[in-house]
Formats: sequence, structure tokens, C-alpha cells
Amino acid sequence: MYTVTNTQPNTERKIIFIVEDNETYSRSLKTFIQNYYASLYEIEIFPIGEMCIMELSRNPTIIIIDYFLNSKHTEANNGLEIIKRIKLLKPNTNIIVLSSQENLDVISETIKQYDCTYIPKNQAAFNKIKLSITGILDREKPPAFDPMN
Amino acid sequence: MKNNESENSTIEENSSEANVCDLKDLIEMMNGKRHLIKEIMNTFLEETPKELLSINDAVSKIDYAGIKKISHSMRSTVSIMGISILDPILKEMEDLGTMATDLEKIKILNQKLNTVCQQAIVEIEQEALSYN
Repeated sequence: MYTVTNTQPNTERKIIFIVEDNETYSRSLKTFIQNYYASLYEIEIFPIGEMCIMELSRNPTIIIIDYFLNSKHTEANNGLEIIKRIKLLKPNTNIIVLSSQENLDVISETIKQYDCTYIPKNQAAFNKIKLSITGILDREKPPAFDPMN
Repeated sequence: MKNNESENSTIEENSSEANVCDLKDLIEMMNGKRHLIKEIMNTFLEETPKELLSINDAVSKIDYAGIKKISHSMRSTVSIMGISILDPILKEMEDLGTMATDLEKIKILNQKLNTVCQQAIVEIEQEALSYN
């Protein structure tokens, strides 16, 4: 009896959206993720949450979103509004919320209510994002092939 | 006033004596891959002058909401480049912007922000040359 076990995260056809209006941060994060998951199908950056909502039909596996989104586009919705709309339209999407917001009460309510992962924007953020992405992709791995079953 | 002058000179002295950027975390995050590090340095060099223009504009227009939002956003930029000296400055600007108060203090902090960012740009430009 033998079992073929896939030990790599399943990145085939997986799409990640990054919703972040700080260009240095979003481009650095995209480069970082591409470096670790070279076989990901696509990583797309959206500086405005509304643009991400318009592209939800592409079924991103993970959306990484800044909680405090409207620093440049003052008329844009903040992260909380965008998270609500994502979960309404695509409830199974995995959401990672980033923030340097100190008021954790507001964020922890959002995390609980919308089943998000929260990662504070500090020096350790990218490595925590990597762990979170690996965890999500592992959960979505197809079951191991067992020819006896 | 004396305190403010003293704070200013401390920042300037510190800035001229030692590097304001610490790229250790960035290099580690990118597994030391020079082309990736260079790409991020170039993004920083493109975006930081624009961010400074935006915050200077907000300060000159006494746009507290703008000061709050831009200083909050810039905290992300400085975390990538390890410019830890700027985090408390940006945090204070964000807090004062939120409370819409103490424009004079905001102006002093903004001056420090500009000084340190200019030094960071020079450092990163020099560092980027060694990544060619």
C-alpha cells in the first residue's frame, strides 16, 4: 500500500488580492509573497477597496487588506466597509487584515464577526503573513491520493 | 521653545551621525535576493518624495484629516525600511491630526520628518548603487 502525499502548499490557480493604498508597502508585500510562492497564479494589488470588490468574480483565495484604507482617496471606503462587502458577496474568502491601528477593540470586533486573521503592521508582519498564507493554502490542499481507496 | 529646539538638534545630530535606515529586516524578508531588495528600494525612492509632498501640502493647508491619514500611511513605509526613529514622530502627528490640535507642534514634527526622510533617501540611493 502506498500513498502519494503532497507536501507543498497548493498554489495552482490560486489568486491573492492585496488591498493597500501605500504603494511601497503593497509592492514590497507582493514581491515578498512572489518570492515564497513562485507558482501562485496571480497576485494583484488594489489601492482602493472598491476596485477589489469589482474583481471578486475572479474568486481570490486570499485577500490581504489594510484596515485603514482611505489615506490617499478620501472618498474611498475604509477597510471595514470593504470586508463587510467581500463577506456578503464571497463568504468563503479568506481575509487577512493588516493595521497599525492601536485601537484593537474596533479591529477585534471585525475579526470575530467576519472570521478574519489580524496581523499588526510591524517588523514581523511579512513573516506572519507568510505563515498565514501557508496555513490557508494547506487547508485547501486536495486530499492525498490513495490508490487503495 | 527651548525644548523644541533641543529636540530638533537631537534628531539632526543623530541623523548625521548614524544611518536612519536599518535594512536588516528587509534583507532577511527577501532572503538576501539583491534584485528584490533593489526593487523595493526603487519603490521607496519613487514614493517617499510624493508622500512628503502630500503631507507638506496637508500641513500648509491645516488639513488635520489629511495629516492624520498620510502620517498613518507613512508608518507602513518607514516600517519596511527600518526607519524606526520616524515611528514615534509619525504616531504623534497622527494623534495630533486626529485631535485636530497643536499645529505648531505638527509643523515641528513635520520638519523632523522631512529631515529624516531626506537622509533616508540619500542612504537608500547610495545603498541601491551597491545593488547594481
